[in-house]
Amino acid sequence: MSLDEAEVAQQLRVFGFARLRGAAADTVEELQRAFGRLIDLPADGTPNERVTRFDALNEMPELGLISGSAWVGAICAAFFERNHQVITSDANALVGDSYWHSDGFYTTPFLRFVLYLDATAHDTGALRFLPGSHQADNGWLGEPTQHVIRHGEDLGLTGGDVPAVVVESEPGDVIVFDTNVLHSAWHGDIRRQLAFNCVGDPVTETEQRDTRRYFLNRYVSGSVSIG
Amino acid sequence: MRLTSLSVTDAEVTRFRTFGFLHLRGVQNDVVPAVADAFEDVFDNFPQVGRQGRAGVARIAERSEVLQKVLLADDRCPQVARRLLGTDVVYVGGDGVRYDGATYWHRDGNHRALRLLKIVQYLEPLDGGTGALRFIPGTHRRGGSWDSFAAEMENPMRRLGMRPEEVPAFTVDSSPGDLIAFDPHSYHASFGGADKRRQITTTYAAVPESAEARQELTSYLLADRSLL
Repeated sequence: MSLDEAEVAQQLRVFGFARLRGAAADTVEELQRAFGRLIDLPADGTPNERVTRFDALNEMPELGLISGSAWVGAICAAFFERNHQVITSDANALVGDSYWHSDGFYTTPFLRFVLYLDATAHDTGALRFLPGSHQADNGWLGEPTQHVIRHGEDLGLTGGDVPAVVVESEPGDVIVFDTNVLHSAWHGDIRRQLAFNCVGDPVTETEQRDTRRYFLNRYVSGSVSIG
Repeated sequence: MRLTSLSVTDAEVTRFRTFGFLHLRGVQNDVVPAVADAFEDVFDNFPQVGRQGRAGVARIAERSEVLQKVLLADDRCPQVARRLLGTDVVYVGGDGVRYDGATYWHRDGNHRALRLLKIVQYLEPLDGGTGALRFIPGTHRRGGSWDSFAAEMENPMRRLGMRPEEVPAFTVDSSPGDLIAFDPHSYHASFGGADKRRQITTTYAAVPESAEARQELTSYLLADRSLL
């Protein structure tokens, strides 16, 4: 993989997300097999609702090869400018749309590394982002975010028509994003997703409080069927 | 030539204010041939100025009776501008341009108080590979981190390791007859442009309400636009 961690870190600061093409290409088949051990999909392949297994790293050493890799370490070091911790991980069988949302507008930055084990494109559930919406001073907080979330009523747009950046992905690609950024996915069928979230070692009181809140919030999403 | 008024819905106003641009599909469909003929007529009869990659005629809308009616009549583009800027507006110029190639990431000026609206129409169908306008949504807002990332936008390869066309953005695929209205403080660009694609713009300013805005409008009007 050809990768300059400083450039990736700067993409994350400017846009709030980055795509790392083929970063996990060497391990994608192992990851696909490991996913099958963790989430047993129905015979027809499509569960009725999203299925999530938290703490996937505990049961998937294959994912640990990614989260503990030198390149993830280098990106986190360049972005956080300190040591980092992996604070949560999950395996998901995603179904249908994921509405416009931020994972919380925290002062402390958190990164989420996402691997899709199925190809995702514009019309098949690819992640999409509003660039720069992770930065509080860019004016997205408040009404603009409300308009995006209430896109039908306020903007007269379907969620998939909100003007945003679609990040298509092939198995083996990794998408990393600042979890403050506004994101969604539309028109998707079943997508197998693995992810882990990182934070720079929390030092200040705010960082420690944000990290505790963030950790807890990862487990209480109302849309998740906890298996 | 009978023209209908151009109108903008409340939802479209909110879209513009949220993202910094608005795509009005097909609102000029009834006058596409007349506008194209007028464009060619002006280019045949008025001197062109420009630089490499673009040749144009300044204030094109004032040089053609057809374009005056289609673009500058009070219930056409000025009405769109009033709705989107939410106040009275003044017409501050525009041009017709034949573009070759790309226009790189930029904002038009760096006004802090002056609010401008640019309305663009292309006379060729354009998509991401043939020079369609692309925007970074939300970059019309003043202040914020985008102001500190100007160097990244000017040279994305050096700072971000990306070719300019790889910068994540929303591309507005357009057809002749569409209008694209945008705050020119938004970061915008176009890549992969087909040769000689024709563009007409008109620009409006919100009537200034502060001394700073008046000063910026004065500077804007006095600026040399002979290079387009």
